[in-house]
Amino acid sequence: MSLTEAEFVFAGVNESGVNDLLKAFCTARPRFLTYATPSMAPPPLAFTSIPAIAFPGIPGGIEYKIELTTPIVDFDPDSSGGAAPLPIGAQQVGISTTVTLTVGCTRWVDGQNPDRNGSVVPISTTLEVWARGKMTVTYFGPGVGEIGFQVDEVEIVDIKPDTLESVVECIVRMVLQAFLMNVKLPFNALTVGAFSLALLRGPEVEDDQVKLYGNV
Amino acid sequence: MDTLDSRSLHNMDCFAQKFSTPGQVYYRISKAAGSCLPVNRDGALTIDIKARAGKAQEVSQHNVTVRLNEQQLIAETPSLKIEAGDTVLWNTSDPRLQGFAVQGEGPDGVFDSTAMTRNAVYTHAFGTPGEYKWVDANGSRVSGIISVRSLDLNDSEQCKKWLAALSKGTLILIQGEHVDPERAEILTGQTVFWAVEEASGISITDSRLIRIEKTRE
Amino acid sequence: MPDIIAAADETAATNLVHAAETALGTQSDSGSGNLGPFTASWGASANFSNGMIDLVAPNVIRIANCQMNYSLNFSLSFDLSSILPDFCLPRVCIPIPFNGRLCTPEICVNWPTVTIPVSHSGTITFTADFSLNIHLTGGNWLVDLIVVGIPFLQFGPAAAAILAAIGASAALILAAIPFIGPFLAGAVLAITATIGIAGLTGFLGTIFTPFVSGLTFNIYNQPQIFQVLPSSGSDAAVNVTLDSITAAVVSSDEDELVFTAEISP
Repeated sequence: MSLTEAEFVFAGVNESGVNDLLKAFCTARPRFLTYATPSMAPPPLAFTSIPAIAFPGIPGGIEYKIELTTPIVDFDPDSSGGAAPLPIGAQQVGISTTVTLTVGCTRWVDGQNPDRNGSVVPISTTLEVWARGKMTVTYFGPGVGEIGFQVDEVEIVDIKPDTLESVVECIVRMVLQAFLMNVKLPFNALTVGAFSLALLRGPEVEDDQVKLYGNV
Repeated sequence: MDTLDSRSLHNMDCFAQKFSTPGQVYYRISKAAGSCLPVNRDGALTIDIKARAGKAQEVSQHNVTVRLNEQQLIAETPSLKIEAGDTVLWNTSDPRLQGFAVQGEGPDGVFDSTAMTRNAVYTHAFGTPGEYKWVDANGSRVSGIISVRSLDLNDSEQCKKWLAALSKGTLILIQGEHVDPERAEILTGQTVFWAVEEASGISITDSRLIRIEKTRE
Repeated sequence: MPDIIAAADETAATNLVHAAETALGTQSDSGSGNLGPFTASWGASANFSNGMIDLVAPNVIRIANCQMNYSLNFSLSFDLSSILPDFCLPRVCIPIPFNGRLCTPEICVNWPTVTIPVSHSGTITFTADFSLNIHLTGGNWLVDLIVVGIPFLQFGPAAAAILAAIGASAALILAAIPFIGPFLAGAVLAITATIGIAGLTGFLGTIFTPFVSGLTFNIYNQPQIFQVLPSSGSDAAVNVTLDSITAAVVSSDEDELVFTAEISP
């Protein structure tokens, strides 16, 4: 069976290639992996600045930081060997990463221990995150377009009670999707500049690849 | 088309002058420009004209070939001896020679191929068909037309006719401002003879050359 | 499995090759040589277009009826006396009223050296195999199609047209030469017959064979440090390294030109 099938050109990126592209993206633009209020991100850390969560009575609001590691994608068929708690099916993509949540724990009144008045102590937890979703495409015109990622579900194992797990999974899903909104891979990169691609079909996820079909 | 101009003689032209009075003629051959300069007798070409011995003797024609020698114009016979009534004809066989003129003075007065006055002949062989209007570049009203046509030489009869015609010339006689005939029709390759019996010092020049000169002014 | 696979079928490969032909642009050359017994100085230019593309595994792209669109200017210089007989006007004698009889000497025509300019444009088609050549040069990955051998160029129709153009130009140039009239048709015939189709074919071969010998079309040219995303505001550009590029013709239920790339961040 030919690669181009009923179309004229084909571009297929293996999951290893997508992971190389993601790593290149995160290395060049590290600020997209760290979101923090400024006091929680001392230099030379590259980060995206976010405001503190305002709360009445908490001076300055709640300081916090969210850090991700470079995600690793897995295209259908599942390559995790059963390790993924969200097994991927046809046309689906699995995404794994770690998320570290840090809160600036503040004490502003402590009559019993004056040394702790006005202290901010960062406390963190690191979560192993499994996500499942699909590939998206935005097509601007002949030869010009990009693929992206859509996160449908997130699974974080072993958070109790289940309701807390659901809350955290929702927050992490939103954060992960927000991060991935910045990661767009243009058609030109998917063909390494061999030809321009006027999209007719795809993206299709199978054989550990994301595939696009079209015309020159 | 051909260049028709007695002021600048080429290998298709001849200039002839009759010398009627015994004596010494000094002349020079010069490039067409510079013809107004007087003849310097030192180093000039000469014609020694002796009295004719008896009326019965036929007059003779003497041909002088002009050629280039290291960019200098020379006459192959620098000193000529003739009898009164003879004619001297100058011509060149060298196609590289880009125009010459003959000027001199003698017992009959001055003679000049660029301004013919008396007993002078200019000939031109026409190599290209067309209509040639000739005028006097020195300003007189003398003029005429030579119409040159070609035969179809792929026809053997026409070719024979043409070859025979090559040895026949056409005479145009100029007396004062009278030209006879004013229009002549010839075949390509034939020769026209302009015989100047008496004139004010005329040239035979293609009228298009005069227009070019006027444009350059 | 390679990180990236890009494939084009014969229809898409045709577009790629035609684009490469256009990108090559117009090649020019000049020189001088012999055309029969005559010396000719020439200037020529050519560009390439069209052709039917056939992908032949494992690494041949056959272009059938590729068009070489050429423009040729040359001028022939020769001494007319080498083809025309000596010709002299006989002595002409006529009676002159005041001068007795006057005779001009025999005047011989000296045939000059002439230069005949010729211009001609046309198209020659040829078929040739091109092999894929992948190389990293000057920090760029290049995939070239390099012609295999020297294509055979059919000059027959072009030679006939150019010979006719030589005849027409010669007739025009020679017509202005005095006394050529009787000899014009024969002179033109002598020029074209002396050159002949065979001579012209050899001349054209000398000129145009270098245009197709070693003919190379570039179908891929990307820097090894490949830009995925350009810089944007304070965000740096995102680059990957193309560690290797391959290109080959792969045959399955159809023939395809397949590029692969291994990349690293």
